[in-house]
Amino acid sequence: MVRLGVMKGNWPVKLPYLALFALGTVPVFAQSSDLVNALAKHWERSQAFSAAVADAMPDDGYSFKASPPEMTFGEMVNHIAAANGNYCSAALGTENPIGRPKDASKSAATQNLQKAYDYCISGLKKLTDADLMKTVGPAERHQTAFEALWGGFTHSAHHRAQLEVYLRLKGIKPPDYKF
Amino acid sequence: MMKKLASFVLFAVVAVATASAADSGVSRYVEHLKTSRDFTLKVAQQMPDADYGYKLTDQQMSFAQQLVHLSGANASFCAALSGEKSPVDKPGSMKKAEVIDFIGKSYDYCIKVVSGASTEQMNKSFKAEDGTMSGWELVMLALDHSTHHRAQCEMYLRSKGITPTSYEF
Repeated sequence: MVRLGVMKGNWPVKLPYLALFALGTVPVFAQSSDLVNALAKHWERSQAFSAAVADAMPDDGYSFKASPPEMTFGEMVNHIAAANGNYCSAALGTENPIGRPKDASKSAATQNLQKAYDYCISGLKKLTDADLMKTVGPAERHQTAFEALWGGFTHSAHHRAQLEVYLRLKGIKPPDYKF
Repeated sequence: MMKKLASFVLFAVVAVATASAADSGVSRYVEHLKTSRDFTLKVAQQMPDADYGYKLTDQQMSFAQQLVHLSGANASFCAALSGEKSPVDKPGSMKKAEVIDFIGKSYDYCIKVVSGASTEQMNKSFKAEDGTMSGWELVMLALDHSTHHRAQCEMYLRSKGITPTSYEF
């Protein structure tokens, strides 16, 4: 597990990656699914991490928001789910199974979250590396399937990080960062 | 004239799209790194200098620390990818001007490394805590980790009554 979260102090930044070193050459594109497998691995971690963050908030915290213009915790969980449905639908060329979520309770939002991640990951695993390099969505965006999936993945990280701040404001220590 | 221009633009667009497919995506990675840099700089600019030490709760990093942390991490990831030591010096202080300078230099170093990376370098396997990671994954990690901390900085802005700049990828 990659751990980078909860770090204090200005400098030096103690990162496990300072210990990174090259092991040798493994061609990612030599086999047809290496990039798919790597992406699926990180999507699965994202799913587990997002689920852990969603789970850490009690039911009654789902209507909490840090400031009036923001989404409630439950709305933000639903937003991650709905956005993933859109990004992955664009990447996979299949119908988005996540409608516009109305119920932002813990049980409804966490179900949406799992359903969206399951849709993305099961679809991704059916692709090949060549599929990931195909252009998808509106032509003027020049977006590959890989970028659409990467976009959903990163958008999830954005809002999950904000959910973590909501947890902090409720006095709950968020789960550690994972990639 | 307009027609000719339109077909030239179309040609150029197709050429660019083909070129990015041909280089296995390094140029697209660089594009997202540049967007991430510009987005992070915008968020950093929005907070007044006097509030760079602000944090929402005691356990968290300050606004400045979040930005320095994500930038330092980016330089580390890209140094790992390049196989060399990061040439980016840590900021002299946690003041707005120096933090912003550090963000720019760290991202620019990363952009330079990834722009110049060969497919072989991107395909290399790097040791991580739980196994190995390719160069492609390292860049994904840099963006994911930056996104994570920048998003928290945006909440510090909200808490100061400042509407954060729109999300970009």
